[in-house]
Amino acid sequence: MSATDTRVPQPQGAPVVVALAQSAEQEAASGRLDQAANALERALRIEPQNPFLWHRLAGVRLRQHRPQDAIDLATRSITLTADKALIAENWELIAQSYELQGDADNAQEATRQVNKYR
Amino acid sequence: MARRRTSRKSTRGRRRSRVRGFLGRTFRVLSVLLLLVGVAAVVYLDFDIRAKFEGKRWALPAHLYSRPLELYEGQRLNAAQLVSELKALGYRQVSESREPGSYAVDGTAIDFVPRPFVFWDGPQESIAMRARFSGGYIDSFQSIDDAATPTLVRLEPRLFGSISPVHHEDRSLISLDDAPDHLIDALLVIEDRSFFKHHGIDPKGLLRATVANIRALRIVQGGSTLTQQLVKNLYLTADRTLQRKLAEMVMAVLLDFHYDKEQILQAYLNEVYLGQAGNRAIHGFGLASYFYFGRPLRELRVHEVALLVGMVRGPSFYNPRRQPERARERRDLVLDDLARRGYLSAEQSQAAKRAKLGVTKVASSAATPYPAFTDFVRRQLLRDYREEDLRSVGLRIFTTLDPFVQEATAQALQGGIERLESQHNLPTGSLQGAVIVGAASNGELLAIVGDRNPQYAGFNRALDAVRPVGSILKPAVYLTALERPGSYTLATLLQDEPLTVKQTGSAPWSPQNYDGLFHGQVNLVTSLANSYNVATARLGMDIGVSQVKSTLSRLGLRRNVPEYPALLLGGTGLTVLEIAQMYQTFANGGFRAPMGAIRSVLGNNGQALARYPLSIQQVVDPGPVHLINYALQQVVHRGTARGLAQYLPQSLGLAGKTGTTDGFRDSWFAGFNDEYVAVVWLGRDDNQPIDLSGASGAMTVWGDLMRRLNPRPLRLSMPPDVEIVSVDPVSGGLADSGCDNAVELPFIIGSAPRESAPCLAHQVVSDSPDVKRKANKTGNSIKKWFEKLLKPLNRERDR
Repeated sequence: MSATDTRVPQPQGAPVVVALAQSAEQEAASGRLDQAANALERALRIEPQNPFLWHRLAGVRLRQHRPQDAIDLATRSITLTADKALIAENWELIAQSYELQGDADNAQEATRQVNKYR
Repeated sequence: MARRRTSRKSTRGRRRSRVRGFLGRTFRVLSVLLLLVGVAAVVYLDFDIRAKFEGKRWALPAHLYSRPLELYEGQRLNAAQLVSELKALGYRQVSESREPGSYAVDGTAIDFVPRPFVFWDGPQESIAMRARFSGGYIDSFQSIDDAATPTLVRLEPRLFGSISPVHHEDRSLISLDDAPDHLIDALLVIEDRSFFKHHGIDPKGLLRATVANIRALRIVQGGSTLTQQLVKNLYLTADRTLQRKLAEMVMAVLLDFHYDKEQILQAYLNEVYLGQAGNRAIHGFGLASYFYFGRPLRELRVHEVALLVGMVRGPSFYNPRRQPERARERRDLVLDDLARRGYLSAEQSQAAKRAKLGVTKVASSAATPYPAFTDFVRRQLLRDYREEDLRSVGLRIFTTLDPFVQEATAQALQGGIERLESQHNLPTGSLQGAVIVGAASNGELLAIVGDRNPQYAGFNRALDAVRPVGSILKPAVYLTALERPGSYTLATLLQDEPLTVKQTGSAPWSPQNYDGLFHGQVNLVTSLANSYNVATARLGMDIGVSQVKSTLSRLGLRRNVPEYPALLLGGTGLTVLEIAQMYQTFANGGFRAPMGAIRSVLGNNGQALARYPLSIQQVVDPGPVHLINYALQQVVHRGTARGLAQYLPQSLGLAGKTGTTDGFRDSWFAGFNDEYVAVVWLGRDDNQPIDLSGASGAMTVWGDLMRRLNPRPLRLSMPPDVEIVSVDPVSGGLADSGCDNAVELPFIIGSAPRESAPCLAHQVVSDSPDVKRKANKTGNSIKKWFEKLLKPLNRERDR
């Protein structure tokens, strides 16, 4: 789960969506997770098919200790993208979420997926 | 004699004093008793009036807000839409916009300064902005005063209603702050000049009224204080006995003792009787404002306020719809009084007296312009929040209502019903309907209409009318099949041939097609596109009714529907909301988002009570969802909903499904793009036939609605486990190169047929919606040969 070997996906989309995603990053970095989620939900209302936004929201949910939500959101992101790096990042989130849920089998399977796409 | 007399006297005196003593004692005992009874009565009245007052303690009502309009470069919005939003928010049009709450139109640009507003996630600052429009988009969005341009700006949301969440009453509650200028002034001047001085009753006022009444030989003044009137309204009794009057006076004093003047005044504003709508009483200035003027109270001008205040004395006597002259005289009297007391200048009063009464022709019974939506918000509040939280004062409820979509929906349904009644010679006023529009990606409800009259606040058909759903349910059957790619694909051939299912305990079930024909061998996508009942029933019986039922529950259906074969063809009652939830899951790629109408609730201190985080749940795998959505696009492209082309270009690729029930009693349409999911139902309350199919009725309303919403094209993103394969629709096999009528269909990888079939282009092609045949006469041997080619060979039979 080291962050060094992964490319952090950069926000993509219309300028307004990128701006909201960046503001979400800042909020999340300061620990204001509700605010971060708010900004991402706002962005998703504008671009509901943006896989990056779903991915980031999954990350926030994981930090909010809502692993099941994180799994569903990351899965949604996967269904909307062909970007392998982003898919790998999502599987990484899913693996961590299963770990948090104490589900070792699924965590292991998710980690296999990470390696497949990385 | 004297002695005798004396003795007689003294005897008499003794007797008298004895009597007097007895009487005195009796009197004293009686007095004490009376006092006790009196005290008991006062204690009782005190308990009673406080319970009544507390029970109706609106405190500060909860305010309902729409979604805020977000503005940013590249947004799909035209100038007219922005202006209409600004007008709805009460922005003033000026030549140069510099003040918050103003806007200016300059060619294709609109300048405006948003009002500062505190949202649930922080404040929106007030920065002067210029939006330029081009081709239905915001082309550029810049701050005017060299200030740093924010990437996006939120206009403040529209306040569209006020409710008391814990009281199941339809009221437009107001707080003192909501009262427009002069409402309180006028009330006090006309009804109770010493309100802030007296202790609940006003002996001087009573005396003055009595004298005036005796002079005039009729009742010209009431003499009741506002507090007394409030007590009277709280009890709503027609009993005008002296006893009742006394009790009211005692209660008024008690109320005045327990509560401050502001609390009493606010309760009065919300409780006073101001009219009658059928058997429903109109209480409170907030509701009366909608009832008489069709607008919220805070928007009323002084002559309208004066009219309402004048009506307090006798809402039916001064009814402005029935007695306009009388109401006008009364209004002018109030305006004169306001001028005499210095609240208005002579000019203002004269101008107000020249104004028309301004009442709407038709009474609106709703306390909000969007009663069906408000109804849903109230239910969601009671379902999802703790009641003690909802009792706290001054909640601000940020809802998901989109006024653009709501207005479009209301117009499409109202206009559509009137058009259909006239086109199809239906009795005027017989047809009813309901519509729900939600956001596909997050389940947010954008619009709800529950009656042909969108302003009607009664039976909410969108939520409560449980009606047979017909074919609109079929996608659940097909999805259940497509989730078994080893057994079913879009190319799988189904038999649309007579079917009779024996049922224990009830008559055998023999489904028929709407055209009365059987279409022989048809592939799965065609069967759904043309909504063939018999083929669908056979498919459903093959996979099992219980499997279809479990798919429905994954799609969000909580109702326990009976598990009988007729379920496969929608022979069960559901609501528009339930269908909307089901189609939301399709529209969102198999991810269900519970439909809701609340984004955030803020308490008085600005703290969020609880948030509704966006939450989705994957309930169907992407592959099967992709296939069913492709099939639903085919319904619009070439199936029962191809008539939508009259409303919207085919190139949009919208997905949808028609539904018609037995005897043409219900007409349904559900459909979506990647942004909106919308469901329309039409029918009669008495369940009589309406002679409309899904396509001739509900679909036309849906088409009109979507046209108004200017939808984006629906582009289904293809999951990695799906491939496109060219097949021969007749045989269901792979198409070889020379095949003229080959069609490309999406398949889950590995499920497409493996063997190619000799092209049968010359044969009658059942894939065309226009071809209808009696039972398929294709030779059995050929059919069997094809079937051998087809994958899967062995379908698991659940029954």
